[in-house]
Amino acid sequence: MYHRRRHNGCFGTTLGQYLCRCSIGLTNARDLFLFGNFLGPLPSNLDLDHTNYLLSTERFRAATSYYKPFGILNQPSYSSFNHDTARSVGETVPLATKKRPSQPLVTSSSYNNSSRPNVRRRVDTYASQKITQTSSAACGQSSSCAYLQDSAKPMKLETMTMYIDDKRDKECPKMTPSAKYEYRSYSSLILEKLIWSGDGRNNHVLQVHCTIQAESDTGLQIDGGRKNGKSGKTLSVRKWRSAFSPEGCLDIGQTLGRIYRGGIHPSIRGEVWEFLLGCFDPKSTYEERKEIRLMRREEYIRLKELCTYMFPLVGSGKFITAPVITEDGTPTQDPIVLLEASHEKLLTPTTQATVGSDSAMSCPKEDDKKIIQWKLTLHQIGLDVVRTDRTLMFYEKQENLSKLWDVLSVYSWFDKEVGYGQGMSDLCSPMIMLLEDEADAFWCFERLMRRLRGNFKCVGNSVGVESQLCNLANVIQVVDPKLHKHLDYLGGGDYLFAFRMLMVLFRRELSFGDSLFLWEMMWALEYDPNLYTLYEEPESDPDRPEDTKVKSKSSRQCGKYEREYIRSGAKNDEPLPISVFLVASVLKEKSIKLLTEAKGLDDVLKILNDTSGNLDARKACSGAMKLHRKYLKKVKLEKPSS
Amino acid sequence: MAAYRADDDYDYLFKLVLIGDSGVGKSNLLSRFAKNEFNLESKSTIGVEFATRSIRVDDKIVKAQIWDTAGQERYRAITSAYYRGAVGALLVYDTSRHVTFENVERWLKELRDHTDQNIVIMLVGNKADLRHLRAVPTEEAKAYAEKENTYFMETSALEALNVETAFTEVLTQIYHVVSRKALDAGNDPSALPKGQTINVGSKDDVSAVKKTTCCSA
Repeated sequence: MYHRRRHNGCFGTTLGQYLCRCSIGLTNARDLFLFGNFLGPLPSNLDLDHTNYLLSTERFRAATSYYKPFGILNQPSYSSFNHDTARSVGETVPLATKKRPSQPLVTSSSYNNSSRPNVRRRVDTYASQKITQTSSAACGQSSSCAYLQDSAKPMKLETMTMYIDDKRDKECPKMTPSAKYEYRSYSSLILEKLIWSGDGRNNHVLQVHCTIQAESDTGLQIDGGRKNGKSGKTLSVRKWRSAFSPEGCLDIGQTLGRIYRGGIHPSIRGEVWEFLLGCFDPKSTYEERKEIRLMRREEYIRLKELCTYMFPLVGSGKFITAPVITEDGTPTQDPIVLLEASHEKLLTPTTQATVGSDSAMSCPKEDDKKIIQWKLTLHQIGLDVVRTDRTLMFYEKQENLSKLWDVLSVYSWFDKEVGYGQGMSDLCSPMIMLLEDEADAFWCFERLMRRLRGNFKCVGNSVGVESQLCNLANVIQVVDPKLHKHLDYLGGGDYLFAFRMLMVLFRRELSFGDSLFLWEMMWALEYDPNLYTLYEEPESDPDRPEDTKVKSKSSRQCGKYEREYIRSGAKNDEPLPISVFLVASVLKEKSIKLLTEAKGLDDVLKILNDTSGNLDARKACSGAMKLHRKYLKKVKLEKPSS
Repeated sequence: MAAYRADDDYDYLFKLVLIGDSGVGKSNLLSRFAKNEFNLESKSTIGVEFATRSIRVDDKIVKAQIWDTAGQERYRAITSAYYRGAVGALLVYDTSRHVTFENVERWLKELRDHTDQNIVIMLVGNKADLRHLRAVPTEEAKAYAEKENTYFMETSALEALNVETAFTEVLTQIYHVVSRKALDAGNDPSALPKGQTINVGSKDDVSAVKKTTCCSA
């Protein structure tokens, strides 16, 4: 069981203090309600003016952003917020008794092992009635407070203490450490989300979800993890550097195993990904790579300049979420458009003329279909950018949001066949975070899209991913015919329920950190040293990569998955991506449940959605490898007979 | 038609779909109705998701199974696969973006192509709280709804305005259709076995009761 220790942290400004401040001198309905939902009933004279909501959300953000250096903090969900409940709650104020709790307020704690051995998930639930029990009469209202307290050291969190207290004081909350935890022995603690729920009256539940990461898993100690066996498997900075020759040639073979077993140290993630995704040839030298990088950056700048020329908001630090033109190219006039993009600048011919061109673009009625098509995707990108990983501190900054928008906008111009499809923002977001230079992020994303663009491609009435879903059906049919039959019987023979997993590679099923870990594991397993050449050489047909693949491949430089595939001799078949087997392994894992409990497609979706947050990346990967082996074997056996 | 289990307590199970352009607030409408939650940091829907909630209509418990779909046009082929068996639809547009209202026509066509003609449809203008950004006048949408013979309502998932009413209205109307169907067939709706799935849109016809009502803000 998890151990508790004595607290000795220092106190900075806390969410708790903010709670106190805002719940006393408050005129702001939503703030009060947010915390009031936990703090207790609301006063009846609330100002429910609309403009106040907007202001208060910002204020709330400002308050919670304090916690963001420590990782991920979700806004509490606005449970039961509406005018009616707000008022009725305010009117019926039960003055609570002043009674100290005799036992800790945590009613339950549960753990949930994540994919890495040193990482644990912990969920503390703070109970409903117990909180109201302890609340005291202050300012004529009943109240109780939750404090999240920490040592206020960004990035390296040593202490996290959770308090529940019954006193609210204007300046300094007096804390009763009735429930207090310290995570000293852990190098990082990521607060993932706080869930406040309740019926708006007496039943309040606060759930604190966090990930606790032990020191040995951060890869900070290089090769030093032998002390306790399992640690030190992460690809550390030193291990990575030592895989390069003095000229810069990389022996990638010796790093792949580590990536597969323990992921990549966060500080080198970006550069390792560039190799895994085939941005560079591992056999190239530092000099060569430097040159390629510079060339690519220039190319990106050129692309972006063209985009800015067509639509001046690209690169301006702003973006749009409403379409600026209609399908026939005429500008739209909605107030929201005027608000987001300074209209006259974007759409009148006069400013276009200053760019120094006489092209058709200067006229608001664009005749170039491609440009119209591209412009019509821009607001869709904007709509998704504002909904991508918004719980991460990184995207608190407007400039990072527009960076993501810029990269996706440029990509949709660069790859017109694919353009932009929902889900791509989920795939691109980690690149923006990991690679500082926008151009590098773009190319890394572009390489990722080489693998995945087929899924997003739209031909007529069908989406590319359907062929992967077909592959998935084939795999399940081979490795678990009974399950396939059952799913087919339920009307799920198209496997559409796996759509999301394949489209965004488990980003929605896993936490942010775990999905990155899963990705690098997948790419390490699938690694093919000829990737770079395949992508770069114009003569190699991208649709049939297996033709060129066979030449001079040292299997030691290949990922395990790739190696097994080559060994199986199934060269003539279309190679299946490991993601298909990953989904298959998730389905296989849930096989019994699906067979016994699923009576309709809704049940299937429900069972699979239950994996959200519970999926073990490593287990899924080894499951995928097993299924792959099984599949290759069975297919091989069937081949001669057919 | 999939047969649904009768393990929890309800008299009728109706399948609804939420459709409309991307970013109009479908997922937040659903979470407001199903969980009374609104999330400013909600993610885009990839594929489909669903949620359920039971409400009381007359003296019956009606369980709504609501399927929330991705809005981007290129995924319509995928999401329309989930329309099958739906007896009600909320077709959502964003009152601050006129183009989402213009696309309603396409969505209606989509619905009529993939579902039974007797499906109960409500046109929903969401984000009514963005008063200063309004681009679709209530009258325009109301007139359109009348023309297309659908129900109409303006909602705000953020302010929890009319959300409950909109869903309840659709479910009640479906219930009435079903009751009438059962009456027409000569048996009492209450005599139907518990938990049985009611399929309004089967091959035999249901005379849909469609009056345009407006309960806008």
